[in-house]
Amino acid sequence: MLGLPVSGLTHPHLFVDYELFFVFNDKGLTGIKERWTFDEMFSTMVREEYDRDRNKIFDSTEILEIERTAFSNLENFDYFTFIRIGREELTVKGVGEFTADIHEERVRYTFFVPCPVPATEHFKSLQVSIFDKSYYTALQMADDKLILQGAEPYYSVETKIKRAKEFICYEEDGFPETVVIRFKRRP
Amino acid sequence: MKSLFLLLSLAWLLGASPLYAGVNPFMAGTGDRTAIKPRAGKIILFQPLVNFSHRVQKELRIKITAFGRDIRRHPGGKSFWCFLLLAFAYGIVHALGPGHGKTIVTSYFLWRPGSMRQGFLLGNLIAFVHVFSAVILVMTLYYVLKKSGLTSFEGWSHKLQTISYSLLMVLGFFLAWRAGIEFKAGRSPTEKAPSTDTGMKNLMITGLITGMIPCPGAAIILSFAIIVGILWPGLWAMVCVALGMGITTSSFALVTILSRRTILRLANRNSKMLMLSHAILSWSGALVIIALSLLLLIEQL
Repeated sequence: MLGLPVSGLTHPHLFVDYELFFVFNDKGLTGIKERWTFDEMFSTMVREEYDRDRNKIFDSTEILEIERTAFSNLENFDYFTFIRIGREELTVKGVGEFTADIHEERVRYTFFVPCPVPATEHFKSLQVSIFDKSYYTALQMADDKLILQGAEPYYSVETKIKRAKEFICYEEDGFPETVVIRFKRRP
Repeated sequence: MKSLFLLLSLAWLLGASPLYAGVNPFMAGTGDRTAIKPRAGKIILFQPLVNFSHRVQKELRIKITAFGRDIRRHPGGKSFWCFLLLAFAYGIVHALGPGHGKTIVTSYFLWRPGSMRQGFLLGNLIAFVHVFSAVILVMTLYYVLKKSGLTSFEGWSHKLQTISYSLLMVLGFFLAWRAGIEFKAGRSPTEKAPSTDTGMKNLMITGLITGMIPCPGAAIILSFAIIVGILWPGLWAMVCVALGMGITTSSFALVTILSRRTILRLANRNSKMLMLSHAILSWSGALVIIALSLLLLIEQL
């Protein structure tokens, strides 16, 4: 037991509430839009640094600066997004449509994670976990918020949120929250 | 005897930090796009407890923010005292996580016996240096260099981490050398004479080196205080955060001191056993400091 590297009680410095939007088109799932809302204290610092004209709105120049200096490095952390399609893991290497705004004093990031899954008559299954493995950020789903965009009327969709209850679990399986989504084409 | 070893192991287990340097993943630590590889423990112990800890800290942060904003409207009122009290609570909880010197205090008091006063002193020294290095850095950035926020803080913090880990490794080698000298000379500090002047010097140096890395949690609270215009309450909150952290870190030191004392008391019946036990504990402490600082340094470079 001596010297075993473990993470007992962790201590994040940022707190993020996230929402997931599963985006569909006529072929199937195209990807996941994520919206992250930062805690107010951290948001105050971000606004101080990036809202240069202090108008409580991030303009396009400010958004570009945020993306360059306070977001793009997340590529090294897979954008905290871990996706399994069936049994295969999808590595998130690039995201798109990044934007930042201020909502009720809190900074929000929104971006799109491409994750194309063609629909069939049989259920396809996806598991999505949003988690910072460095433990610097604590991410939690906002009010169990999952939104399906474009699923109606083409697909039957089932969703479930799994929460880790195990007392001892290995990192790969032990995400605090995992969204499981199953969908198939309607006849 | 088994329960004593379990107690010591538990103190070590809970105190052991994963290989975590506290780098903000949203920003490159050196200010460029250098990849920073995430590091995390392989085993997540007590996941429900971890989740509970996160929720508590999140709630504390929300309340600290709300009281902080209210201080501007009602300075010196109830919000001020609540702000300080919650900062103290935040310090206690925050220091339970990795990166606040618990491994170092545990290893240090494995290396040599200490008094309760020394345990309390080292724990609080690390906590206060850790918090006030963040205070100095944030204040310098805001008021002297006129640079706000995150990117500048992360850049300087990264440099200080490298210096701290390097110095800790040197200290670890020095402590290992001292342990070797004592073993060769057949000496072992006794309970009646646990401290020497050299021991106090080592303690102070250990505390300063370990604590010199600025605490991001403290930096965020102080930065917030500066931005909303409550600098002095923010500085008082830093004292409270440090006091809270000191309680947590000292607790680990005191548990280690007591465990070591008990082990050596039991081994005291046999002088060879006593010498061997002291040597094993001393070497373990020194080697842990060396290993931990080396691994952290490799990750930094």
